[in-house]
Amino acid sequence: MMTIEYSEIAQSSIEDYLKAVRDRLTASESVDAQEVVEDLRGHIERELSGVTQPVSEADVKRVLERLGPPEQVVDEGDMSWWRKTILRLRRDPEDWRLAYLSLGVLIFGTLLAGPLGIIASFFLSRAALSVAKEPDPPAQKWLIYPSLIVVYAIIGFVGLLWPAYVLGALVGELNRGHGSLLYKDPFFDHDGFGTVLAVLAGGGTGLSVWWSLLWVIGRSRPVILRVAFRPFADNWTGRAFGKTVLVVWGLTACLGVTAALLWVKT
Amino acid sequence: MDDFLTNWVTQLRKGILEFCVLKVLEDASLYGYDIVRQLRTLEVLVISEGTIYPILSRLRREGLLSTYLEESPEGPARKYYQLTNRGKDMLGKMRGVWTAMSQGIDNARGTKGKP
Repeated sequence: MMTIEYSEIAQSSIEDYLKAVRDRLTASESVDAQEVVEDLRGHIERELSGVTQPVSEADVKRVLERLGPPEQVVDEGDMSWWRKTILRLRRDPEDWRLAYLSLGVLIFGTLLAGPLGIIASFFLSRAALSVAKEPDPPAQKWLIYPSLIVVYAIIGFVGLLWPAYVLGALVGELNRGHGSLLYKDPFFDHDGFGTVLAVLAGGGTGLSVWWSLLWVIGRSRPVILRVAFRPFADNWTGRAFGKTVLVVWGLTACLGVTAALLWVKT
Repeated sequence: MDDFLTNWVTQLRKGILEFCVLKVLEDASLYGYDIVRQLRTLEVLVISEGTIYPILSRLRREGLLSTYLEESPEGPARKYYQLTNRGKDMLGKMRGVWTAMSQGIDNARGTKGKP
């Protein structure tokens, strides 16, 4: 090798670069990692042979920039899928590590710990979203979306429909005469179809009130929904949300009122 | 750059660079650094100079190139790359494909005369 004197930091930059290239090339099946690293070292020394010594970090940086980052030097197409995965976990930025970890935890964590695995995977996916370079990272979506979809679907389902269940069950129970407050009131003393109508009326009313509240929140503070359902609600505006809720609210209110009217008549 | 275009350029660049490396070595044996210097002029193709070295290694493994060491007055022995007979044969075939493709693209001109 040529005798070139480097500053400590310049030497360390070169070694770090060559190590990163070697790690990637070791995973490649079509090239000789040692041969390429030696060629690259020779190239770097040849480029730096004319500069003032000890070679500065800036000079090394200039040469390494022309060589390109290690991930560009090595073609990942030559690697098997499992080598690419291991490499990304070891070397790639946090957004990739977290994305792989999220899918791994979703699969194996759920098998071992049930719902806890899904919750852990969800938080890893949200963390991956936070550190991703793009708001909705296209490359990682298949790794982080599964747990997000599962948790958002549950939150959405429960968050939207819980009043129907709670109020419907309460009014239905009261209608059967088991309620404590209206136990002896003959008005509630129905069964069969009357109970169904009571459940519908109670559920519909509960939903109407709850969704009215959601409508107000969604219209005035759409950012809450965007943050809560990232990245799927990134483009939601207060107006769009308001329209959606209004339509569903109108249909539910009609159902609730009709059921209540029929219930009173029975 | 748009993702689709990036992928397209990457695929295009990969195949053409291998062709160019063989072509550069057609008339003379060169050592790695000189090959890179010659290809530097193709700025559209050589975005990162480091990409040339894995290509050289791959072509050598494929038996299209061979290497030998030669003493250098500036330091240690240098590793020179040269075309093997198989490499020469492959370069001829690649050139034929390249010519056919170029002509094909020219013949398939759009209505506005653009390639």
